[in-house]
Amino acid sequence: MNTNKYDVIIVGAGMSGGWATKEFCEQGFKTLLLERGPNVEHLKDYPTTNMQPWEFKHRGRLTAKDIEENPIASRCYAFREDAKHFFVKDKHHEYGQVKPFDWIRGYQVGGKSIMWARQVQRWSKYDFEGPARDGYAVEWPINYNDLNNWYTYVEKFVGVSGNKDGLDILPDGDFLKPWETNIVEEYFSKFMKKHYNDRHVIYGRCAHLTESKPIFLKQGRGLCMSRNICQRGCPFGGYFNANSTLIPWAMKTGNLDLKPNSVVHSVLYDESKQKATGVRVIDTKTKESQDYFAKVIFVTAATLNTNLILLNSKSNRFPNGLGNDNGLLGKHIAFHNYRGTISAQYEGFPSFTTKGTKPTSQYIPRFRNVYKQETDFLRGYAAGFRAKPARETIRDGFGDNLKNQLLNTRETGVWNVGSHMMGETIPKITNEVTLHPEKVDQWGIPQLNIDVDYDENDEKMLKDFFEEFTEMYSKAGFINIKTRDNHRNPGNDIHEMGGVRMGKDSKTSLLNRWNQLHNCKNVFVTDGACMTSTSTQNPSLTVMAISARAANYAIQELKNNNL
Amino acid sequence: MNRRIAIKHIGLLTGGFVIFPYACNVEPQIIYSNLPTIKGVQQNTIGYICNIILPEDVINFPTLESRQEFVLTMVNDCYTQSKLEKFIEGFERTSSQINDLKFDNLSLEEQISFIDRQSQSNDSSSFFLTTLKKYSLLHFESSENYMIDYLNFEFIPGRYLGSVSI
Repeated sequence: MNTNKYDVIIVGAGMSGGWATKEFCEQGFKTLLLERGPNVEHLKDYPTTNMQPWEFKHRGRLTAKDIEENPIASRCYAFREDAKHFFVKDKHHEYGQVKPFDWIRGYQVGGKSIMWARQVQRWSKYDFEGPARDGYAVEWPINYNDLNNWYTYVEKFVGVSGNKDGLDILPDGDFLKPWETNIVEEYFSKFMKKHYNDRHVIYGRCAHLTESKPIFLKQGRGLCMSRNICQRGCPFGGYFNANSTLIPWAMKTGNLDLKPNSVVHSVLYDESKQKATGVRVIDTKTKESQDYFAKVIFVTAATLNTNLILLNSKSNRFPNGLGNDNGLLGKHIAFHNYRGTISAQYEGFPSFTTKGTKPTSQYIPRFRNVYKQETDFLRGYAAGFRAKPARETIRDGFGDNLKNQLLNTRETGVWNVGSHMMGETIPKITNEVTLHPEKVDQWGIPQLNIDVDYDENDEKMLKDFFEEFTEMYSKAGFINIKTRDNHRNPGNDIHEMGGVRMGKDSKTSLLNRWNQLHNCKNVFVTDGACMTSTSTQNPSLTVMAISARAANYAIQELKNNNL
Repeated sequence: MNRRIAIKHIGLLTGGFVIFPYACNVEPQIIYSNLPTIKGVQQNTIGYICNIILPEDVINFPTLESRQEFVLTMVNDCYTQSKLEKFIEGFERTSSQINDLKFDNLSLEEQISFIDRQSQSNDSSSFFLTTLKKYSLLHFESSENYMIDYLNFEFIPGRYLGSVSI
């Protein structure tokens, strides 16, 4: 396509933008997909995917230069020798931190969907009802019934491995078969079922293909081979990312114009028409500016960049950012509290081990304050649970003695177990992002200034996690129990949400039930920025369902000439 | 010219410390940008000490690079400036001690005993030798045959079995 006019412009070629792109392109709409980073083509641009561990120059470790130049990104668990090329380099993308915040970014086609952990859980009605019941945030304008079918729609396309657990706190989805559970996971699950009626240890639902279906063959994807090195990109298409699934699917329609290396400066607003007309884009290589126009714009640049773009979209009508009549744009940022971990050992199955690997472990849905408020903190936390045979390798001494010890490495019969908490944080007006008053990036766009922190609710929740899990572990016969506050900064969870929240009232929210800006109806926001609250679940499945739903609504509105 | 005499002359010219290991395996010099004073002969000395710490076994556990190259690469690339300085200081101290002891005339047991004692000292020699051991272990334990045969590594497992009898 050689034009600057489209039916729809989508900003950000990650998970949310990828879904909107697929929907529009499938239904015949000429779509411009803008991505500030470079292209990453499935298969072609996964440089490390087939490298063996011994082929890495530093055996997977980061160099001192990597860490020095990327003090923030290097705190991310996936920023290692095999996948660091998919992360933004800190020195090229500075931002302001009023308080410490680890902003982990992946600027390329596919975004962070290349390196994500693939954990997917539906929200339940209790999650949507939370703000209204507990009096924090604003009421969600949608509920589980509004998203139920869209969750199924997304699950069927991306492929989600899971078990039907029959829990109202974590609704079942359309699942492919699960991987095998190991003997200690099974033991702990049964133990919890016996001793607690509100706590469940279930299979960790994940976006991996464990069965072949016609839709996946049509996508060109094969089964997951459980290599568990997904952050490199997968040559089998065994896990879902936008690169293997959504982008090629949209490309096949002939309706997609993909422009990488295009950073969006702002959304253009026409005051006479009272609508947005397009976006201003800066070519990241030439720094030349170009405007593109469309009837509908989806801003899905990942939570904080979406906030930045809208804040920078100023006009006489919207001097404080597009749609920002109520002054709430950029406020009520929230994230997930991942500070608590617990580890222990179990000696109950000394004659057993495992073979192979699997890209998921177990999951413990939230059990605090689900049906009513019960504790001295609001909301609650989910947790992971993993169990792995322990190996002992003695490395004493030197010479042949040392070598012989290495050759006598053995599994001890003891199992290492552990959990990490995933706590809901309360969106507060004081947790906000603003445009930096002085600093701009290399393209002249104001840097983001981030002012986000934990609060007393998070500290109380952390304490409860330690107490409850120590009790559960102890009762289960786990020994050598150690709890740890890892003191990770907000943002290091990579689940930042909010700033452009959905709500029923335009005085207290930015988006309506269809993810349209209340005050500029042809602009939609469907990435994490739209989230009114965070609950405990990994957000990706919900933002994908929201994106698909909103895109189809926009499509109907376009067809009806309402946009 | 006798190879050992040639090495001695190179050592004197560079002002570096020189030892004459009886099992000397001279590798070509690599320039390590963060270890400018550790040149060819010094590099070989480090490689020699690494092989005393943990014998290299290129027949049964081959690797893409030599132990010497791997250890020096890791130090050069992964150590911060302060650690690099401590490593270099530790190397110079250890080299001096080795020269004084006429290290290559010692038996293997005596050489190991020296390394063991120095590893427990409170000076930079300990840091130097501990570094060599750390990265020698990493090199060995990440070798293909060790990972596959001893750690049950599978690159494409294709399955997960959760309850396998040992």
